[in-house]
Amino acid sequence: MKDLETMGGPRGDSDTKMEVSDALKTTRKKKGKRMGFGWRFYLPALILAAFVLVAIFADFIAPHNPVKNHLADSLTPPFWQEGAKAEYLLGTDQMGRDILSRLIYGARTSLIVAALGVFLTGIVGTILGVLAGYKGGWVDAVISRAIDVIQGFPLFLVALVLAIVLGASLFNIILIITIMFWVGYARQARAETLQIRESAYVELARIAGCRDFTIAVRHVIPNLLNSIIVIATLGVGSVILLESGLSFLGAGIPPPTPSWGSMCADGRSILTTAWWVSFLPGVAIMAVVLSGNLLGDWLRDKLDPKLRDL
Amino acid sequence: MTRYMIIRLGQGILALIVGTILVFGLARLTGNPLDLMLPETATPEQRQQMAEYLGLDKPIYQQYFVFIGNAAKGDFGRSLFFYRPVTQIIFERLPATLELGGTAMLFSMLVAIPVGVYAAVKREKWQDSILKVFAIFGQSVPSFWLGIMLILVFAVSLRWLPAGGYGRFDEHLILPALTVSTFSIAGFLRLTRSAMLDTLSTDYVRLARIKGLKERYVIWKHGLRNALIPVITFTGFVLVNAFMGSVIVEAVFAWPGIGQLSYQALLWRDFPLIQGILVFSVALFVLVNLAIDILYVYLDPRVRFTRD
Amino acid sequence: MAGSKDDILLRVTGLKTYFFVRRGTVKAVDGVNFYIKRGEVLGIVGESACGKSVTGLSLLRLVPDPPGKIVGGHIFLEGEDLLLKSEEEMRKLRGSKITMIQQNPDSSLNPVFRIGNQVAEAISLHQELKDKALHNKVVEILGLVNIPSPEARMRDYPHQMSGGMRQRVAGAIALSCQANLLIADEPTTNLDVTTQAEYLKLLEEVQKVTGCAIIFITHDFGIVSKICTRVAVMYAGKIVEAGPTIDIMQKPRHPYTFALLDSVPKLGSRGTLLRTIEGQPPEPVDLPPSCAFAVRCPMAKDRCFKENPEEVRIDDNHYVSCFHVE
Repeated sequence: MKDLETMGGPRGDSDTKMEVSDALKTTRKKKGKRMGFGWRFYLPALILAAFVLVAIFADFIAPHNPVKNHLADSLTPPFWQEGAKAEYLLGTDQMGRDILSRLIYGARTSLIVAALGVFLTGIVGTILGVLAGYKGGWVDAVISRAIDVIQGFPLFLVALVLAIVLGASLFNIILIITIMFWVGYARQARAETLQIRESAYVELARIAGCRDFTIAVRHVIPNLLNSIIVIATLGVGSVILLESGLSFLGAGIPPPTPSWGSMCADGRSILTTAWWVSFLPGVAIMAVVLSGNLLGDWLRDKLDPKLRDL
Repeated sequence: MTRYMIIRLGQGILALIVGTILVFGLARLTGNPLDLMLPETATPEQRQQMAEYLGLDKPIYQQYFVFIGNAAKGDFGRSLFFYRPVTQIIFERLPATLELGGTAMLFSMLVAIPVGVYAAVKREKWQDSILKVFAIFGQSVPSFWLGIMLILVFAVSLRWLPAGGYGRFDEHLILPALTVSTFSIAGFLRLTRSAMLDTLSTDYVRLARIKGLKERYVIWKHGLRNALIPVITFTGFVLVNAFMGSVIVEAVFAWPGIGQLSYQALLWRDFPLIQGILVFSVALFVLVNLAIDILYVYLDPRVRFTRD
Repeated sequence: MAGSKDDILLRVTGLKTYFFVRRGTVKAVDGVNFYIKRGEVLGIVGESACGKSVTGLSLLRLVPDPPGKIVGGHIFLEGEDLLLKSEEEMRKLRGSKITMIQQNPDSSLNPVFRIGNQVAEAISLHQELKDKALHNKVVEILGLVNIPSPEARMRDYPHQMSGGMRQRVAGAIALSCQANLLIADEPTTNLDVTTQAEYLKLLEEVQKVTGCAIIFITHDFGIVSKICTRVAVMYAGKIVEAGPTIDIMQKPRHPYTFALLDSVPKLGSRGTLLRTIEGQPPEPVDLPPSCAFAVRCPMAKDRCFKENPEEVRIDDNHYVSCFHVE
């Protein structure tokens, strides 16, 4: 007799009854995982929470001043290697700066960039998208063209050009991020606005005499929130990757502010002797970006599975 | 179909125009070239002479038309740093970037698409979950860091491969190509998987099963063929990025391609060169999209025979 | 039971197909019994989501898994229980013994292949034909389903044809399979009335030519009355009444059947309000043990809310599941 597992084979009535309850039991387990907050939520959420806390309380947590040189102790390895020193848990770089402290303050930099970047991009993108979707006509035409054109440009190259052209500074980085990333939000917002615009309750609102602006705020936006939140969470990763890439090339956050990207660049020349200087910041970047992506994925599954293709 | 192609062509030209205007404006922002080329002690007359020579004294829109006119002929002037025609420099560096980008893309597709199909078939099972995590990982790694780590492991520790530079394709190409591929493998994987999931739940796939077709054919002949359509669009995006966006990877591996060239040009405020590169990438983008639109016609008969 | 046991092609007993989804367990098919004889046309009638389509899919074992699973029962095709077969054995049966025409002609044909190609695929799976012979067979079958100029139309893509034509192609594919049992899942629902009538005639001809049995799934009693000799009425995953079409339409015993028939607009009833059944069919998720129709039944009593009625035999062929019949 072949394997009957896949079709819950019929072996007589009493067996069938047991089949059903067994099947139900496995579903309850599966249901628990799907419904609730499994590891797919807790792991990234925890990491992100840690990231935010570390960034906020950097002043209290960091053991050293991140920009202070301790040249005598330069190139100390991290605690698990021999030659490590207790006061520099994760070692020091070639200027004798404590890596752990720099990582901690770097978190602050990344947080500011990510938070402001995502926030501004989200607002600008959503507003433009809703405008395009709701008003239609030439407004839509212009915005849609802009979306198409910007989408086609090689992201990093343009960002780099802008960075060098405008000069490296925190403000400029945020500006660049906004310019490059608003498109994602706008596209989604526009598509959904188009749908919602045709829906019954918007029709009713219009008949009742509501002004466009009121309709937009009270009806359109709350429905968009789900997908925008998903895009925003996923956007955290992209923003941090962009910023660290620019910083790596020297076109991002200028020294002496510690940034994980520039820390990686610092370590390049001493790769053979002090690999940890480049390794550790990269791990930090990856941890945060990964958490953002995992969390965004989880949110998408819960809130709006149709966004799967993003 | 011809109407479709004409519309696409029109959109392409529009994008080209807008793109060149943006590039033109952008390059002007990098700083007044007069300041770059002349010492501070230059007299106003000398500045005027230089301005005339560079054509900078004409009103801005005239400058633009001159720019476009020359661009159409392939003349972007001379690089300020190399003293050679911009076009020449770009085409010198092009093969290296093509080699890197092309290899990476081919590799990504060859790996990611079958794996994506596999993940879709094994939907919700452990193989699928692992692959999904893999894909998310791939999209979360900073490429510069990955490059550095690969160098650390394979070049420094194991000494199997060189740490950078251009040379033999089976040595120098491997690490950079791997780095570039990582992100696009992840992207292709997720896209293929999701497109396949959509396809596999359609009525026509069910029909194939109803006929009694072997599962293998159901998946590959009926499923993938349709799933490839959205995947191809993504290819265009990857192509443009791979060709133009590997600034970081080329920097990490000292790969003499256009990415590296761009970075140098930016640092030196070599604005003819910057202009040239940017226009080139806009043109590439438009071309690639047109090519994909043409490809679409062959892939999707619905496009081919739509009666407008 | 009328007729000898030998001509029973398919007998289904206690079929249960459940869907395990987030909000609970959907008992799409919950203990269904019926049979069909060779060459017979059996109708399965019911409102949307009563489980009739899932029943059809279960017979082919093509229920989407996840989230669906056949969890109980037997499906005896020519004496052999399909639920005991391996996937490979089942695959061989599909097409050759059982086949299906799906509901939506817009999505049931692969958009990237020409229709001739798709019909040829079906033929070559079950007959040893190649090249010229195969080509001729495709033309022949397309002609059988009344597709004009088959030689030319062969090279069309599905989107170039009308809905009615596409359903004919689906019929051609089903014909190519030369199966004994054809499951037609609401094939005419998405067609306009005239096309509907033509298609029904087509199905009748197909049946005469091949001698296959047809399980006709529909929500329309009108169609049932035209071509089905026997009919089963489904509600919330169970068959509530089954028997010869004539008997059921003239003397429906189950309140639901009665209401269904009553709601069909009749000629001569101009000016009167259309009769509808109050309420909605239940979401078949986590249903309590009671008669599923009790909530909407005008004759419901206490007992109807506490227990599930068993099948009661009324006549030779006529079965009802209702407490009022006892």
